[in-house]
Amino acid sequence: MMLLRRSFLRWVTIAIGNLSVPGRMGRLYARARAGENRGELAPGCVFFNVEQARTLEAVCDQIVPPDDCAGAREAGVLYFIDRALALWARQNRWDYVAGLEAIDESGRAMFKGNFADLPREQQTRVMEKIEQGKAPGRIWENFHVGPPVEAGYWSYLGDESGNAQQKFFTLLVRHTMQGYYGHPKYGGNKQETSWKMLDYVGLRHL
Amino acid sequence: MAEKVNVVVVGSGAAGGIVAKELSEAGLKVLCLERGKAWTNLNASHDELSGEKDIPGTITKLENLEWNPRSFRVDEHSPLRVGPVGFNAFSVGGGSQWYGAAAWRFHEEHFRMRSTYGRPEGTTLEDWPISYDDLEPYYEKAEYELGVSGLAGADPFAAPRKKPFPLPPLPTNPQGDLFAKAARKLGLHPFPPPFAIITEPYRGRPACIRCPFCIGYTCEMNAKSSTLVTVLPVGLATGNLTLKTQCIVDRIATDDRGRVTGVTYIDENMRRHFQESDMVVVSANAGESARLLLNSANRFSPKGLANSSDQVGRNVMSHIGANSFGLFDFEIPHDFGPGPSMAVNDFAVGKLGGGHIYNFYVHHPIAFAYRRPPNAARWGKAHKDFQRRYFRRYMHMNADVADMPVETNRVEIDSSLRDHWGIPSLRITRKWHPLDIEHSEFIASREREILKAAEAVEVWSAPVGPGGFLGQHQCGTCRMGNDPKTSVLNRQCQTHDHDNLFVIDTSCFVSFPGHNPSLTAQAIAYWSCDYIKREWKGGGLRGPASMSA
Repeated sequence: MMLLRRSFLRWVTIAIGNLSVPGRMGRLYARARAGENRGELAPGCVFFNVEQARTLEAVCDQIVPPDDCAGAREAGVLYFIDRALALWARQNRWDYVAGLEAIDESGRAMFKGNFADLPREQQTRVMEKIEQGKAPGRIWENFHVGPPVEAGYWSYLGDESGNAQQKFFTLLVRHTMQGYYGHPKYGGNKQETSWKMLDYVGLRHL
Repeated sequence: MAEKVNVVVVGSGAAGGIVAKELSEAGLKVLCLERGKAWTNLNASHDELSGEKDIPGTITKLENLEWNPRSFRVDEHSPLRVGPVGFNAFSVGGGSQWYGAAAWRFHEEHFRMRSTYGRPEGTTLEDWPISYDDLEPYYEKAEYELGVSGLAGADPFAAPRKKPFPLPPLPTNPQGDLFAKAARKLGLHPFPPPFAIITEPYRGRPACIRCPFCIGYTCEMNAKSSTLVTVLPVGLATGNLTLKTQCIVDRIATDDRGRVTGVTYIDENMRRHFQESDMVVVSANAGESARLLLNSANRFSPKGLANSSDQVGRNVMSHIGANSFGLFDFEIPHDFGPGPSMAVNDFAVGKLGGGHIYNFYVHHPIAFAYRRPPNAARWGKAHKDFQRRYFRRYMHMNADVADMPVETNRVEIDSSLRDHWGIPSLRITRKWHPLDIEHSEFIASREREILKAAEAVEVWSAPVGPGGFLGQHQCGTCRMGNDPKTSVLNRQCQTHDHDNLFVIDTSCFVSFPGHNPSLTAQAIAYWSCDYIKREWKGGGLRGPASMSA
């Protein structure tokens, strides 16, 4: 575990070192490969290891919680994000590797437990702190989020202001919404659960 | 080396497709180079993630940092950011394969804004060197060749037209009915807006089935009148047109007298080719057309081709827009595409910063997940409850609001930023003029009135940021004019500096009214091609003496 942390901290440090050259961030992130993530691969995933998957499922389930309709965990949002990082959101891999560690660190600092082990109410408190950009932890201090979060023509769709942890939060929300409300073929929204909830025409038109 | 052609057309989009067809039909040998692939109706799917343009990983490469990197900033004092901003389709048919297909004619006064309203301080507002009357026959030609539906006479503010639309308008939907009722209550004049979508079988294509995946998606029925399914097949059938896909033009070459001799382009295997030609037409859309001219600087034209006036890239405009949203107690189903079914032009004409208001395209769940009133929850139980309660009880009013041409709003080359092919990318500097913000707020408050008259329980407008970068409505980077010192193109879209170089797309716009630009760019393409065909004598144009024809 320590080895893993040192290795991604090195990556984060390299990323910070290159910050002054705007055009290079893309290339730097592109160098990350799925195989470079460490640890035991989570079942059904191609990128996340077991610990990351556990934390991320709990985080997503906070973003879209279960009620009489499935939450993000049951809808399979983890598998959507895993696929996104493997295929079209490669540039965000290290945001997740570092960000999920940071969320666990915040959980330990605030409530003495990794995020997924905390009761729901305490998880919500951690999430609120990240949303405000005030979650505690050393990793957050050196954290930088990849370029696609900063871009965006439709500025009213998402808040682009804030520090790095707020930007990562925006990324988490964005990916969770895409997974939960998007097409089931990408791995999330199992059995079109969200579409049924919204009475969305989706695939049913014709 | 490949055989010399008469014309190289750079880009196969809304305007380039028309140029390729018109000139090949006239017997010229045309090579059309398109950097994207063909995304046909077979690529269509009912999948918001495949097409929604604010989501990365769309099937074209427009929102991709590697393929479409740009640096951008509000003004020269603010920090430069890098992102895939700007909306440029990478596909045959260009944006016309993906757009919402609004097919507006501009109004007569929109071509003479300066003489009507004067020139506001800090702007470069100017009259066009062409008038609505010049373009009217070409608007008509575009509407008939492409297939545009609408209802002539329904809009009391419309400019006069000689012939009705070739196709009847799309039927209204419940959102349009509600909007129309509210607008009439306020004394406005709602009418079904014109679309480049065919509502009856037309020239071998089937009618629109009103699926909800229109704007941002390729059409599964080929009912959207993109150049891919309308004019390009006609051009290809002549045998005079060659269309090469996944080929990006990186430079236009000239000789020492400034005559364009051809282009260099890079193919999909990253091999570079030189193509000799008598003439080059750039139709790559406002941002990319300016980029190509600037990237083609050589020792005879050190500031870039066609840029002796230093105007290339300046005065870029792209609609400031006004977006308002309303929540309702009752359901207003919005399941039938394209979505907009009513519009009002009451605030689009007779006003300096006008805009037409319409009910927006069919909304989908992911996009709706970001539509929230100020201070509403972005996540958690409250967010999910809102999604469930209002997904079918919500209306989005949108307006394209005119923005002012400003000289310092411009695109330039950022030599430190290169795309997939290693070609230097654009740096965009763009800040709203104070009038733009004032006009946008005026239109947004009219939208809120309409939503309230429709009995919305909660109404809000999206805030306007400090500047917009390039939108899908980008235009104005190579403005047309009679004076070579203050404009890039003459009234036929021929560059003042090079007789055999044309820029035919939205780049030529001098001012920008609050209507979608495509049909006007397409009418101008027909207008300009008419000139080229008239002046063409095997191997070149007849020369500068007849330029003002």
